[in-house]
Amino acid sequence: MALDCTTPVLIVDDYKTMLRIIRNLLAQIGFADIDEASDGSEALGKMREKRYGLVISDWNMEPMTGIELLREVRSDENLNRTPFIMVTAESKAENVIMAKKAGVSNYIVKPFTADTLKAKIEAVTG
Amino acid sequence: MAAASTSKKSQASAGPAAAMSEAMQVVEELRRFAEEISGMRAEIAQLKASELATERLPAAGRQLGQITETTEAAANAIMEAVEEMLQADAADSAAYKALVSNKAMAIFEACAFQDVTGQLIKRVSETIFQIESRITRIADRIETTAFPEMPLTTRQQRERELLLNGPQAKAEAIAQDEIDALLADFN
Repeated sequence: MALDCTTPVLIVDDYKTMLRIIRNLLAQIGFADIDEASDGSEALGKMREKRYGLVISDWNMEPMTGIELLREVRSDENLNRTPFIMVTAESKAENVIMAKKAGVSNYIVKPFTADTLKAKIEAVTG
Repeated sequence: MAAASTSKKSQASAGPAAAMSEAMQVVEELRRFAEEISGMRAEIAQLKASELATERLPAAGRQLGQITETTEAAANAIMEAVEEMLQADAADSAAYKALVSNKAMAIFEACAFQDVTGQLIKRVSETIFQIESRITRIADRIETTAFPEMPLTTRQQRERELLLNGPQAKAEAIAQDEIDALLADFN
């Protein structure tokens, strides 16, 4: 399936290193319009200013976590159809279940490969 | 009448003896209690609480901070090298080869962080082990039932509600294919 790499992507992570890794991986896949936020509240602000075709978010951030961001996004009628991938070190089944119940589109556990990221993006944006 | 008189006499004579026996028991209890306190004082002295508070714990905090800085610097150095290789012009093959060779060496150099962080982690682990063993010794003497369950702090409550568990040990974590299967079950 061909990816639409013109879609704007928002990456949310409190670690600059992780933002940089994901940005580079996305650039390698072909995405060019990539924005960053360091927690859920900053991400929410950016999402209300610009329409993103994909959000890739960490779970464990302060002050607003990824799961809280996901719930906010899914309860906002202007944002609730945005594909949302959780990329996190939280690798317990209870986390996956909570994320799914909150409406996550896909879930990637860290550390991950570029192929996994690409496959999950294709799955949620196709 | 005679029987009642005998009983009163025996009570009168048993009274001081019983009181004496009770007093002896109390004295013995107090003596054992004093011994326990003395033993606990020695244990607490061994805790070297002031040394822990002023030296070991601050050092462990600094070491953990140093680990974060070291790994971040290494990750940035590696990514910078890779970014330069990805952006390099491969048209001039000799120059490209030299650049790749140069950046590959930079990556090897950056990977030396593992030695530094390994040593720092070992020191922090030793501090934690010492604290744990000393506290365990004291807890064993006091009996753990003496400690009421502490209420959760706001932060602990939040971590529990939002499942902020952090990275999992291998035994507790599930792999990506298991996560995919779990999500597929929902779908």
